Formats: sequence, C-alpha cells, structure tokens
Amino acid sequence: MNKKAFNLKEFLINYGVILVMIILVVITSIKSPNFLSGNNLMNLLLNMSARLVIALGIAGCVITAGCDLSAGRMIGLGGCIAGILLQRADYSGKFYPDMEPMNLFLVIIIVMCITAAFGAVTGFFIAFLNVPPFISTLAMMEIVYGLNLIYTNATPIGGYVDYYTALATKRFLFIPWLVWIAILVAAITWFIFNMTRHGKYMYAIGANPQAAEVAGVPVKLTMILIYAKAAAFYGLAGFMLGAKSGGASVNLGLGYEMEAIAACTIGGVSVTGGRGKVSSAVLGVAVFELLKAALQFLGVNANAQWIALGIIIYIAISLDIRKYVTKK
Amino acid sequence: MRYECSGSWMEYYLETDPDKRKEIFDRLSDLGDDGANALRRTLFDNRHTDPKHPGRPVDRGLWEIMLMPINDKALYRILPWTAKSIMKSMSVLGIDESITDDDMSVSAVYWEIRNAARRYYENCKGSRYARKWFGIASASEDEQLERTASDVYIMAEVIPEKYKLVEEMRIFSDAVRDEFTERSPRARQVYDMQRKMQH
Repeated sequence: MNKKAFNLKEFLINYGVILVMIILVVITSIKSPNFLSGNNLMNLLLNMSARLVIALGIAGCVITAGCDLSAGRMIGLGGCIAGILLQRADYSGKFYPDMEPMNLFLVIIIVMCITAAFGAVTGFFIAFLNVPPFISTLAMMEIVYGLNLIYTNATPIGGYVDYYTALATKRFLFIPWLVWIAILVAAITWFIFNMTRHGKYMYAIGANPQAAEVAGVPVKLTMILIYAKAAAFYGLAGFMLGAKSGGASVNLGLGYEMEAIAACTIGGVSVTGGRGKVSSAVLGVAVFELLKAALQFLGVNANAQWIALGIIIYIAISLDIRKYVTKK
Repeated sequence: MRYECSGSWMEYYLETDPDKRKEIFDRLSDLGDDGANALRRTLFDNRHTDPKHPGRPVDRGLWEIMLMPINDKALYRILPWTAKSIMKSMSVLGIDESITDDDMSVSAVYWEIRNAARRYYENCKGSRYARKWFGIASASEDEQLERTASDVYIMAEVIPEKYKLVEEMRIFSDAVRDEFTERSPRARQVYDMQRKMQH
C-alpha cells in the first residue's frame, strides 16, 4: 500500500481548529506572559475537570449517533442535591435544618444514582419507543429542570461543609482533588470504551444499529446503559462544580451540554456516529477551555466571548460534516 | 479456481436467513457429500452459537466483520495486541491452523465469510444506517454506499497491511471485497473510487 501523500486541505479540515488554538495560545502568551503561569494553568485544569466529566458522558451518546441536551439541567440537579446533603449543620439557611451533613462518597453515589435513573428513562424512550435522542433528551431537560425548581423552590444552595469545598482547594501531588476525580473518570471511561463488551456494543450501534441487532447485540439495553452512564457523569459533574463554586442553583451547568458536544466534535468524536475516543473528549475540552482563557487574557468583552464560543461550535460541527463529505 | 463453489451449494451461500440456510444445508447434504459438509456445518454452528449464552440468536461472523473497521478507527490500538485480536476474529470466522490447504476447505471458509459479509451489507441501508448530525438526518443511498465502501476498504486492504497480516487475512480480505464489489457495478465503482482516494 502506498503511503498517503500529505494533503494540506485534509490536514486543515482535521486539525484546523486545534491549529487556530495553538496560534491563539502563542499570541496570548506573548501578549500576557501570565497566561502560562502555574496558577493559571492550575485554574485551567480545575475548569477542565468538571467539563471533561460531562464531555466523557456526552461522548458515549454522540458515538451512538445521538446527543444529550439534558446534560446541563442534570448538572444543576446533581449540584443542588449534593449541596443540600452537604450543608454545614450550623448554616442558617439550611435546606433540611435537622439533617447532619452526609459522607462525601455516599453523596456522590446518591447524586449519580438519581441522575442515572433519569438518564435510564431517556434511554428507554430512545431505545424502546424510537424517540430521536434530540427530542428525548430535550424533553428530559425540561422535566429535570422543572423537578429541580419544585424541589429547591429555586432557592440558591450554600453553606457547604469544608471537606466538600476542599476538593477544589486542597491538593494531592500538587494537583487539586477535582482534577484527580476527572482523571479517574477518564481512566474508567477509557477502560469501558476499549476493554469491555459494552464499549464495543456502543461503537457497533453507532456504526450500524441494524447490523448490531442482527449480530446479537442487545441494542436496547445498551442504549439505556449509555444514557444512564452519561447522566451519572453529569450528576458527578454537578457535584464537582458545586465544590468548586461553593454553591449551587437550578441554573448550575446551564448550556454546558453545548460546550461538551462542541468539545467532543472538536476533539474528533464524529456526529455521524461510530467514531471517537476518550482522548478526543480530553483534547476538545482542553481546546475549549484554552480558548475561553485566551479570550479573557486578550481582554475580549465577557459577553462577546459567548459569540466566539458559538462560532467555534459552528465551525467544529461544520468541519466534522466536511470530514464526512471528503471521505466520499 | 481456489474459491470455486459448486452450483448447488451457491443457493446455501446466497441465503442469509440462518433458519433457511439450515434447511438448505440439510437438503443439500442429503444429496451427497463433496467432502466439505462437516466443515460447512462447523462453520455454521460456530457462527450462530454464543459460547457464553447458548440458545441466544447471534451471528458472530457478522459481528467480527462489523468490529473490524471499528477496531481500526475508534478503539485504542497497540499493534501486537490488536494483531492478536484480529487473528482471534479470523479464528471465529474459520481462518485458523485447523483449516487445511485443500481448495475445498478454503472455498468453504471463503464462501461462509462472504455470506456473513452479505448479511452485513444487506443491513447497510435503510433509514437507521449512517445517520448524520447526531442522528437527526438520514443519509442518502449514495452516502450509505460510500460509507460501506470505506469500511470494506479498511477491512480488505488497510488492516492487513497495517498489522502485517496480509497472508493470514487473505481469504477474509478477498471475501469481504468480492462480496461488496460483486453486488452491483455502482458498488465496484464506489469501491475503486475509495481505493484511489485513500492511496
């Protein structure tokens, strides 16, 4: 087989966004040397941690040629539940005045199980009733938001115990605990994607659901598991964001699903399904966070940053479709 | 011709429904044995029996074919490790040390793989295959054919070269490619285009 000749056009289609990012990082670091300081990089890692967990959840859905619009609201629900269960006993605005703060690990499990249950319902509608993922997750987004509003009465949650917020402030081997959580989740996801039958089923469904069914893949059960697992990750991300910000409200995580979908696409998870790796999500999230930080350092108006992010989403999805078109 | 198939057995290899194939096999084997009946039976049973869940309807041949491009495009790759797992897949499809070099057994394995590939390609169409934009839009027939051609090219040419398994995978490569390119003149054309583009 001949070695493929270097094709600049193809290279730009595949790596254009990343190339632009590198240029942006270089320009920003020249203009503002603080950009590459240890503190700022650590801050970047902290910002990336929860977003990576969300992106890893969404990546599974995108690999099956689906998406998950409920991620942002699930994060809000997870953050609020975690916050309520971890409020200080002496906090005046306590949600449950007589309840003692719970064990951190127990709270993580509770939050992940609750959000996973909602994810399983979404998966059920997609798998058994053939509701397109776009619609099913949109519906779940509204349901979860409504339930969270009723549950919390739209009250902001605060007054967390120290051992909860310490996850963002305290470090192990110079790295904040939240980053370690993200690394652990990435490692587990890598294992699931590459080493388990479930991972192979996921790719097979994304590549060809009909053929997967004929081959004996339990397509419906796998779809439910994928959406439940993703939702569990959103719950965990809500927990992490709560620890980082020291508070939560129903709007925690609003719009994060779009960032995560865009991050996955930038990194190389294909919107046509069947393709994508854990490294794709890591790369995409890094690119996205670097872009946000660079824009801040370059003094771009905070409101205008939303426009820049929107444009990136636009370009990323268009380039992915372009990749597909050029393969013809 | 190494892959020659006697006329009467062609009916068996053109049918993709496992139950109907079983009936055809019983009928044809009653008419006589050309020396490959036992192997044909083994290949069929091996393909449609899940060792962990006997009784569950599976098509392990189709699964291995499906998994091949996924292994190359999506999953983490370590060359010797992936090469080993590819050879495991080949073994499920009947290509292993036990296969003798006589034309009859080579032909039986080749046609069984073609049958699995045929079943796979039959499922590479319809509204659920190759959906675009997060599954919102379905692909045109041409787009579906192009996607399948790309996968066939990866299975038949990219993987054997990349993992240095050209000889070991010869029967497999020939079978999946022949089955696709002989489907229609358009399929052959799309495959050749794919090949030209990837080179």
